[in-house]
Formats: sequence, C-alpha cells, structure tokens
Amino acid sequence: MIELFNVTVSIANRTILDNIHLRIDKGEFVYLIGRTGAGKTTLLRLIHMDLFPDSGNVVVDRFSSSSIKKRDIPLLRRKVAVIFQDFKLLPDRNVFDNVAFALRVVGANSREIKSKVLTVLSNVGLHHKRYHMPHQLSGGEQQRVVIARALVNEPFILLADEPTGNLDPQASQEILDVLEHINRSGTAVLMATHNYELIRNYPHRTLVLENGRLQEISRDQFLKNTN
Amino acid sequence: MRLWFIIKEGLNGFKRAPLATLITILTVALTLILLSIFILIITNLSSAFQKTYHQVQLEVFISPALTAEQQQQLVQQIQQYPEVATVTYISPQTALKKFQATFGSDLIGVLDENPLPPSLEVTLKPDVKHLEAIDRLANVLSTLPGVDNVFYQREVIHFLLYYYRIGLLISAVIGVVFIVITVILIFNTIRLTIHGRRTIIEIMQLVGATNFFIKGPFVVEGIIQGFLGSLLACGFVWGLTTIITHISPITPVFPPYFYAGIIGGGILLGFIGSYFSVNRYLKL
Repeated sequence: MIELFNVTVSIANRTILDNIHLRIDKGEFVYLIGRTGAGKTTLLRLIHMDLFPDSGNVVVDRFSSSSIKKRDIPLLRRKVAVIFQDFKLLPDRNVFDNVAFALRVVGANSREIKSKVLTVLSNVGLHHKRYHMPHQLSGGEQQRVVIARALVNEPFILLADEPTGNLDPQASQEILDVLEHINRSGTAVLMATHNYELIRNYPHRTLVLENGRLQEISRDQFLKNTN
Repeated sequence: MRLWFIIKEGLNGFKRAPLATLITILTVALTLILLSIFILIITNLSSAFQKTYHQVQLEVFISPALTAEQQQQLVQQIQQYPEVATVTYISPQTALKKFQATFGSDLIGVLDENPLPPSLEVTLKPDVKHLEAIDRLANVLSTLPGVDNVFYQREVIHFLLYYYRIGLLISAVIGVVFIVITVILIFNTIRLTIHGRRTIIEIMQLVGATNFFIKGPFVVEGIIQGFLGSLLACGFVWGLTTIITHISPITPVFPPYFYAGIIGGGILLGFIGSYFSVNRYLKL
C-alpha cells in the first residue's frame, strides 16, 4: 500500500534520508521514532507528496512519486490524511464546520457532510461539543477535532507527526486511544513521535530513524533502548 | 454545490476579515480615483487641443478671374487630398463681413471698394499632426492653377503641435507610473489580506482541495473587492465632475466607456491580484 524504494533526500547539502526502504501494509499501526531532526517529518512529507525524493521512488496506493501529476496530488491527499502537533484549526468556525470543511472542499453534498461529520465526531468522542468553537476546547479536544477532520474523507492511512507534542500526559493518552480505535476500524496509522513513555503501553511495529537510515526494532530492543 | 461553496466562502471572507476587506476596497477606490482623475485631465486637455487644432485652417486665396465652375472644380480637387477635412468657398462679400465683424472697420468706407479676394477655407483632418505634412500640403495647393496664395498660421500650429507632443509624452510617462502604482498597491493590499488567512490555504491543501478550489473563494473575494472599490471610485468621480459642471463653465469630457472601464479595471485588478497572491501560498 505504501512503499519507499531506495529513497534519498538531501536538504541544504545534508543527507536527511539515505537509501531508505519501507513498506507499510493496509491497516498497520507503525511508530516512527528518532531524535528531533532525525528526518521523521521529512519521511511523512514524502508519503504525503509534499516533498519528493532526490533519488528513489515513493509509491502510495496507485500513485508514484516519479510519475504523479500535480493535479493528482489533491486526490492522493484525500486518502492520505495528516495531523501535526499544532492543530491548524479554523478559529472562526465551530467543531462541526471545521470537520465539515474537509468535505466541503472536495465537493460533498450537505446530507453526506452532515452524516459523515456526526459519525466521525462520535468516533473521536466530540459529538456533544460539535457547536463549540476551537478556543472553548482543551488541547486534547482540539487535536481530536483535527483527527476527525483528517478521517472524515475516509483515508486509508493517517500520518501523525508528533500528535501529542503539545499535550499533557492524560490528553496524550486519550489521543493514542483514539488512534488505536481508528486503527482497529481499518485505517493504517504511521505515528512519528519521541514520546517513548507514551507508546510503551501500546506495542506496535517500531521503526527507528537515525543518521538518515531506517531500521526496524523489536519490542524488546525498544524497551531496552528506552529504559 | 462546489461553485456555490466557492462563492459562499468568498463572501464569507468579508465577514471574517472586515477591516482588511474595507482597507482593500478603499485602496482600490483611492487608486482608481487618482487614475480616473488623471485620465479625465488628459482627455479634457486632449479635447481642448483638438478643438483648438480643429480651428487651424489654410486660407487658399484664389484668382477673382475664376468662373464659378472653375471654383467648384478647384474645391473638388482640393477635397481629394487625404489631409483635407473640409473646403469652404468664401466669397469677397463674406470675407468682408467677417473682417468687419472681427475688426469693426468699414473697409468700403475707407477704400471705396472691397479689396478682399475670394478664398477657400481648408480645414485639416484631426490626424494630420505634423507640421511637415501641412507645409507640404500648402506648397502643393499653392501650385494649383487658379490659386494665388496660401496662408496659414505656421507658428501657431508649430506651437500647438510642439506642446501637444510634450503633453502626450509626459502624460504617457505619468500614466504608466500611475498604472504601475495602482497595480502594486492593489496587489499588495490583496496579498496582505490573503497572507492573514494563509492557514486556511494550508488546511485546504492538507485535506486535498484542488488548486482551483483553493483559489476560487479568494478570487471571488478579490473580484467583489475590485468591483466595490471601482463603484466607490465611479461615485466619487461622478460627484466631482457634477460639482465642477455646476460651479464652473467647464463641461468635463469623458472618454468612451469611462465608467465601464473603471469598473472593468477594478474587477480585473481584483481578479488578477487575488489569483496571483494565492499562487504564492500554493506549494503545488
């Protein structure tokens, strides 16, 4: 479903990713860990086709970075959702409208919007706060709105770039619960994080990005390295 | 549905950033007012010149011995020249009346006879604006059989044409500068408005909106801002020219489709300004 072949990316004469191979299958939950500046965001941007490799190829579903046309990138992004640690919500719209916005910009009709938004808000536990404005929500709730907005177009994968970076431990736990729930319903999740404490209790396939190289580590190695 | 969303989002932009929108509309209005006033000044100066220049004529004195038929032939012959607009026969009697009306002297009373010869008044086409062409025409006419002399106010024509050309050059330079300033001011104001809302562009890109869909609301907003700004400018210019007409003997002359041009210009600037400003924030 997602495959990176011999991908190398350099930015300002510094090699960020060096000959990376990666495959993520449908419905997987994968952690991407590594120090700040290790290249986690760069890797997510490659999958979102916000950045293209200097060499190698990124294949996402039926799209390939070497051949994708500009006009097809929006189509890809409807199926590859992304969330960040900063929430990027529209401050002048309520929760419902923030989520509905993702459907409106792809031309969905009102009935479809209402039904999908209410469903996805229920899934993230915010149905009862649908008329609240972003400033009336806690950080964790705002991040859940962002997740709802990312999911409303039914992507096959959710890329989460440090989604708990701005949250307290309890809110972070809630976000991870939501991501687990999403994953169980079939959406793959690739979560970049350096909050090792948080992900200890949710074991999944773990990739480490270090010095531009990507390496998969076992649960035992992870626990050993992060102790 | 999608088009309606684009229009609605465009209109909502006014509610979301009312101050920025108001500033943009006022900037459009102010710059278009300055441009309109400049255009009106140029048009009216040009019109005044045309009126004065239209009075420039060649007086072709013809032999009193010519028969009426020969005079008619001569008129027709002169009429054939491409520089000539009209040819009017002035009899000695008409010339005398004109002289008396202009100078108030009774020539018959002094000289006992009318000394004025018959003549033809030749007016030039408005596009004949080269002294050399007028000189050439005068020379040709003076060689025609039956023509005694050709008289024209060469110095006056030279003076008029000289200052007309300088005026044209200066106004062209000022015009270009004005248009460039107008475009830059409007573009920058629109760009600042869009810069304040770049997050919405970022979110649209994240969730997979096409570039057309992202640009749409901003372009709609830009067009409406341009339209409203140009309406304000038209209202101001209309008011100003109406007052001038009432309090002075000047009746301003408007170029064809003046108001339509201002409104069209406002809309076009709004469209182009917003279109290219959004482009700066589109990574794709």
